[in-house]
Amino acid sequence: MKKQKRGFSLLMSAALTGVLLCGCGGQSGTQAAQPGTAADRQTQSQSQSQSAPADSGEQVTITFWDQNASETRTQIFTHLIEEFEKENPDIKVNFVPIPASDAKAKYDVAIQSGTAPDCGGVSQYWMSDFIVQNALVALDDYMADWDNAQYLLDMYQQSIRDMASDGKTYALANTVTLPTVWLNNQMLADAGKELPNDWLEVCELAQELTDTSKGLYGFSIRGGAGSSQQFEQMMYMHSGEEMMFDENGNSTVNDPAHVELLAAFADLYMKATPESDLTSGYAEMVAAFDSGTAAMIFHNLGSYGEHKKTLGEGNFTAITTLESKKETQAIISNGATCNAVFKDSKNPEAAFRFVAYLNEHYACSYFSSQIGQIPCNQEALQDDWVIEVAHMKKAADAILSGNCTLITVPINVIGYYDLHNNELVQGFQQVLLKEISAQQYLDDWAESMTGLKKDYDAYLASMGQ
Amino acid sequence: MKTKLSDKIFRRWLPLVLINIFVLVPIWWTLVTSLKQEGDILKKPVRYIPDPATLENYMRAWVNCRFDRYFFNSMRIAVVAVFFIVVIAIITGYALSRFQFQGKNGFMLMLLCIQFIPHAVLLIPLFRIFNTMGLIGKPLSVILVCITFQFPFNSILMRGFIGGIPYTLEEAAQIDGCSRLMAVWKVIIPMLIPGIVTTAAFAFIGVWNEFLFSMMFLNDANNYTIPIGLKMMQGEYNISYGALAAGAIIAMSIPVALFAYLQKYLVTGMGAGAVKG
Amino acid sequence: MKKTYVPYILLAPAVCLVLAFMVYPIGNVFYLSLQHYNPTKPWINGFAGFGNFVDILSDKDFWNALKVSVKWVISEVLLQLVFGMMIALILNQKFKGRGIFRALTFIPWAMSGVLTAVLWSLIYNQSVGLLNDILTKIGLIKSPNAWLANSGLVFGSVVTAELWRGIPFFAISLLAAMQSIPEELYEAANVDGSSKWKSFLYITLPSLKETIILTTLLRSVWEFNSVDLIYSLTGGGPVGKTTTLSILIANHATKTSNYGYGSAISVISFLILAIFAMIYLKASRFGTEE
Repeated sequence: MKKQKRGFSLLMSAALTGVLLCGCGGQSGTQAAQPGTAADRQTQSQSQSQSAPADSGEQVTITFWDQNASETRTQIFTHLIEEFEKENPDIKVNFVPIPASDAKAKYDVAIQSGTAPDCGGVSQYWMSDFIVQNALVALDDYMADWDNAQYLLDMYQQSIRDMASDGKTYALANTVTLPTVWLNNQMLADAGKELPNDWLEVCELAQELTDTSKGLYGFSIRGGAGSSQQFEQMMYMHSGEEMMFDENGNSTVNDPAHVELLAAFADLYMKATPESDLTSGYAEMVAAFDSGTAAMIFHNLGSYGEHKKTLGEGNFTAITTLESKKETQAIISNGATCNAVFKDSKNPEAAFRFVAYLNEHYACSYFSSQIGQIPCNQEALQDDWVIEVAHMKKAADAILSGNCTLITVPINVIGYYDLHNNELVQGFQQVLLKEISAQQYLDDWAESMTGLKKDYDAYLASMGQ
Repeated sequence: MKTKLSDKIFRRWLPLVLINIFVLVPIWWTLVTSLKQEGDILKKPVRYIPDPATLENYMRAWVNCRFDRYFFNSMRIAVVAVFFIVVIAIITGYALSRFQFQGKNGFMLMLLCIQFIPHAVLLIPLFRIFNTMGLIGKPLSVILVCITFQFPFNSILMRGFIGGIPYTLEEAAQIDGCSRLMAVWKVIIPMLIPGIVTTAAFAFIGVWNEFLFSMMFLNDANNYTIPIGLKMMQGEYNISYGALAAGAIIAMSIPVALFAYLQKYLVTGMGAGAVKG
Repeated sequence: MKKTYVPYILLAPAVCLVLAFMVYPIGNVFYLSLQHYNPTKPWINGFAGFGNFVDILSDKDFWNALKVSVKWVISEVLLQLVFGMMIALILNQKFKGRGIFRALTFIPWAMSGVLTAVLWSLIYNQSVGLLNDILTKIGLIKSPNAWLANSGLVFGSVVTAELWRGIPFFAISLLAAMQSIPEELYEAANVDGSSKWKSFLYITLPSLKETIILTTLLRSVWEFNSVDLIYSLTGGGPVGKTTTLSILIANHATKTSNYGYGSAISVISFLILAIFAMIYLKASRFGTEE
């Protein structure tokens, strides 16, 4: 009995202590911006110049969400925020790290409840959703007063302006990555083959590098989550087609070159690729490559760090340029990683100040070099660290050359992601399994995209845009 | 009666060992992965013994990934939530088990039915409620959500446990001069220990591993819990398997240690002899 | 029985919680199920009446998902019950070291869902997975299997992963419930010369009846709604072979913002579970004393 009484009182005290701690601990630095005083808001709206700190000298706190948090990035941002706060003593930045898998969902919940942060990192392909809900602040006016705006990459900024029907700039492109075929050098050398020049040669090479007796495959296709989005990039790389929709508003996704490529890959499945590819997501695809099972995979420069970790530097190559049918120099993009300011912010100017800082030379370069992505800043692209890494230099040269076109997949059409996630992935699997033909699949896909665009355009027209 | 040796082997040890192999091999694999260097994890051929073995993943998880902080946060939320879940489960279960009253069946049905809706679709309305209460960003919101989600299940479970204890015992105690409350305290609770341990264990795990609402309601990394920390080891492009495994081992250590201590209360043997006398 | 307010007082905290945190959210789901609502497609928004339900019931993906859900729940609950019962029976006996085994049995339950998914996808990986490696080394298979892609294997693979997590629930609940079975009953049966199997059938099972009914019902609901493990392992594929109704809901209500449609599927899912629960409880004659 005594033991029970003692146990019980212990439990009670633990619980009460816990409740008290919750009350205390939870209060530090929780909610976003402190509600500005009336005087603050007055001063801010009167102040025209963005480069000067808020006149009243009162401190303003803004919140920034990192949409792909990890311990490395947290360290990077802590450093950048420190530097920023030194230069801008009137602005304090609250940093909130969010795991990549749930970032969009967290933004969605925040937007729906009117609690979006002041600013944050967003993937470009989320923007159409955010814009249609009127969640983002147009940055053009702020940019007019921002000197360093000239160093942004116009190519990517144009793609961002294309996201909105009013052509305004709702985000700043911060880093991008280039789609690439990763190739295992050893496997290539062992078979005594050359680097492929175009996509059909990639398919041939895949078959040549396959040796099922040893459990080695030429290619690993991403057949699970994200499959159709990746394959879309591959197809447009192959065809070189620049327009996502033709002059009649029909989707170009069922271009004959695309059908050709998809049919070729459907043939490769299980012959030159592991069976497990059918449901492979990103992690499995990378595991196949990094374990030396598959000689090639298609992804982007962003996974460089993963391959370096397991395969080791110098043991693999990035093939970023493959000849397209149109013989043009083009970079396919499924959107940049951007920074945006949200309408719910009570301090949009301060938020813009921070976002602008992140996209200026120092911050952009530092950030990109640490995470291994391509900075969207002309000055940063010419930094030493870019020049020293072969595939980065190649990318930088292409971007800065000025005669390269950026082809962005139709992420600016509402329903794009919905379509891919709920229908196209499953259809892709059926094509690999030869349950439906590549032509059929792409025709259906084109029809859906065309329909989505029509609906969206009709909506915009009805809104008078 | 002494059990025969063949009985011991075939009815006890063989199935026990086989099932435990099934249960433990993945755990052992997690442990092995946590001790490998990151670059070794995906290498072929598959290595069963880490070589070289390293504790760097644990260091990374605890220090760099701030698992020390998340650990404390998870503990804080779990202890408070579990306490209230168990208490509410006991009183609700007792009411449902020992009384007949109007609305009883309806209430039980409701308890059952509110578990039918997947939590994900409740996210936005719950967010709005807590936002109106000004609790978004505070651990208290997570605690309240955990209690709300866990108590129906545990109440029903507890009703079952209490139902297994004959009412005659309480009656006997009351005849001896105890008030009803004292009867419950002296008779029910001791016999309910296995049920309380079970409920507390399930509730603890549920809260300890709760991810969605912690992720959505908390806005300050200082308040983050372990599952959020684990998720952050999976970036958009890089997955730190080693650190993830180490983090998971750290995360598992508490519930397992707790249960290892409590499991002896699961079999109190109080069932025996209850009907005697 | 004299009129007493005691039960109402005891139920007060539970009722408060439900009123505060469940009424509005659940009501919201039912409300939205009657709407076309997608915040990112404002042009479809508006009252739908039963439109969503009609769309869902005429979608073959729904029926496929329903079929998979039923298959899933039945296999999981049965397997977990059987194995859980076996373990509970063994752990109920007195032998040295049973404490350790009890603690060991609990471990899969303790593992975070985040990690369980990553762990099993690593184990099932075709190239670097533990399972293929061990089976090849033992000689049980000749070439590595695609556990999560092969149409014949994928369902069993996912079932096994979830089974691993679910056994402790039954093992522990049943073990706890077995404690209130008086030992004299077993002793008396032994004196009568009854076999162990008969003891199990006529003493253990009936005493556990209420617990078994409850735990299987609760577990069925749980498994019906479980998403994370399946989603991480196969994404619902290949070609919908592992897409349960709960995954369909996740795809519409959380991955994309199709809240009206997603809520409607949730309502249908709710009704299915409610009907199942009522039939199950009636058929098992729950709450009736022997």
